[in-house]
Amino acid sequence: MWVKSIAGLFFGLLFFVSLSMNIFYMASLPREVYLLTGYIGGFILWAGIMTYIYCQDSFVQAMKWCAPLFAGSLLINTVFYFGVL
Amino acid sequence: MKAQTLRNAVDAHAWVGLVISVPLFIIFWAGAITLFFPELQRWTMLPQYPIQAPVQVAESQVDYNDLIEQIHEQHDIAPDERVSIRLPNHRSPYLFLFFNEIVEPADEANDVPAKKEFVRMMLDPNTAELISTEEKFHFAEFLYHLHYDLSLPQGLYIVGVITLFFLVIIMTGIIVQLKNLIKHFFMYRKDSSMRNKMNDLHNVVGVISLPYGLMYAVTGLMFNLGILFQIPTAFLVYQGDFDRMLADAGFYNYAVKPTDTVQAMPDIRNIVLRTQSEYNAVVDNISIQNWGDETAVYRLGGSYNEGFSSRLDRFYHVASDGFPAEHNVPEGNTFATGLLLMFSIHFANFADLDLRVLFFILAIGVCAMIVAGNVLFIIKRQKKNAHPKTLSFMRALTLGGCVGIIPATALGFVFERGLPEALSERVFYVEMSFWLCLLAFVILSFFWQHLRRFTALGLGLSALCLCIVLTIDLTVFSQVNASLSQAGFTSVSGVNIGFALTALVLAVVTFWLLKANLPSMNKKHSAVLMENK
Repeated sequence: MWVKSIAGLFFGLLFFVSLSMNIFYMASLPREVYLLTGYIGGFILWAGIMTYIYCQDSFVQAMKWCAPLFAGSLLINTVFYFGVL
Repeated sequence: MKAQTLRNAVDAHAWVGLVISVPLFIIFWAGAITLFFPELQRWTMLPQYPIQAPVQVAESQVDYNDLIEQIHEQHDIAPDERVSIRLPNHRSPYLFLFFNEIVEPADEANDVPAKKEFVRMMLDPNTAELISTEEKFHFAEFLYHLHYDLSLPQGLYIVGVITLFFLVIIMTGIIVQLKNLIKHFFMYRKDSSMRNKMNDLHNVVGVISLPYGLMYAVTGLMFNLGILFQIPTAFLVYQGDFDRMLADAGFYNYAVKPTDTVQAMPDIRNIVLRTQSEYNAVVDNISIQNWGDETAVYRLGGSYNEGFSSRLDRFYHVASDGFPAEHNVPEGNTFATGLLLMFSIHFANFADLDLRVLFFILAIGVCAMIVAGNVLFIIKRQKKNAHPKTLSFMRALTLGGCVGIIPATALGFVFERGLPEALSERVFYVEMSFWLCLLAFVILSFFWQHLRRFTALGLGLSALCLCIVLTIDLTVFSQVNASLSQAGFTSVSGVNIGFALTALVLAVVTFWLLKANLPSMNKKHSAVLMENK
């Protein structure tokens, strides 16, 4: 349980920040709306990711779904951040 | 849903719940009391520093400009330093001044900045006579700190992480209860075993307080861990431009340096009254920056008379005699409005006493849910007889912590009321009484066999402490309290009535715990007894 908790805490943080950035880049929201959405929704997302990890048998098993999604999210951010599109 | 997923969710719910139970209980307990923070502050201070009558800005005889002028003459205040005035309002009847005073000038040769000290002055709102510069009645503030940072270094973030896990508990709880949420809605098996009763109590309170708990978890996370969203956003979205991010978020910080061009300062009271009229708001605080200079501004804060708990924050520019757009972000910013809305819901300060009482009851319900969850976990593990020493340690720690904070708070109130105002270090004694009582209960819980009697001891002692507080008020402060009530300050009597009702409830529960035919929760036999009941 300690592994799930600690790994879930840090992975959840990275994932929520990355997904928040995806929302910023992909949804053309006014900045103030984006800030509020990220501020409220981001934390719910973080807890949701942690809950998903807890519901799996192990952290590694949770990563089977989470890791590809996280990689996709990172890729989107990289593409937008460096202005490829 | 897969059975294994459900089992994992149950395990996580129980394990995370047990690990964070004591700090979470403390956060909710202190938060429940903090809902009455303004009332408690008035209760502690008014009998010690009585004032004639509540004062409104328009009626006040105080010359605020003269006051600020005197402050600048008597104290070494940097030219660009702000001096803040908190006007008497419905939360606090006193007039407060706050500023930073230079105690050691800057050493420019060695690039050492000036050393400053924060000064807080409490004044009579009728005469502006200095009442105190020390914060001697700090217990309400202490409980507030306990709520949001557990009075620990970096406690803000610790509480933030605990709140995150609380949100995880809520989510796993929903997963676990999803099927039964409708089917067994509010089911409470009165004549069932203790384990079933505890289970039903945990579930019923959990379902009733679900929106409330969810709101507190999300808003608590926003306040305590908001920085984890702000920093990446500032660097990745705003390329490090924090000022632009703040402007988009609806906040503004006036950072114009004085030019040393003298400027006559307009009457503060007139500006307050003008702002109140122009913006249909009530101003309760003013920050004055660059006093006497052409760059001077008055920052006026307060609340609008219309709308749901929206806050006023306007910069009055002295030289242009107005509220220029360059120093005032547009009103109605989505982020700022949303954040203030969350803030108001969290503190229930959009409503009057009735809703805060409801929030208080729900918070106490969550506290009961935490204890019930712990008891369930311990019973389950005791039955399996797995890790008995760890279990015994956790049982004592969680029990001592959860039960002990109640008499510790009550004892804190006894010391807060009983210790003389003139006593130096009285804040230290009050806080120490709280920590020592909590520690004593945690230690005692390691040796005490019966949970029921242990809980009865904690609650009975709390009732006794509250009776002592009431006795002090009825004897030592009876005259001053009567005159305060006549002057229109009803908080002191109101809090005393609240204490009397709480003492009565605690006494009844104590009596019930001692007399009711409940099974003993002996460390060794509780599991068996509860299963057999």
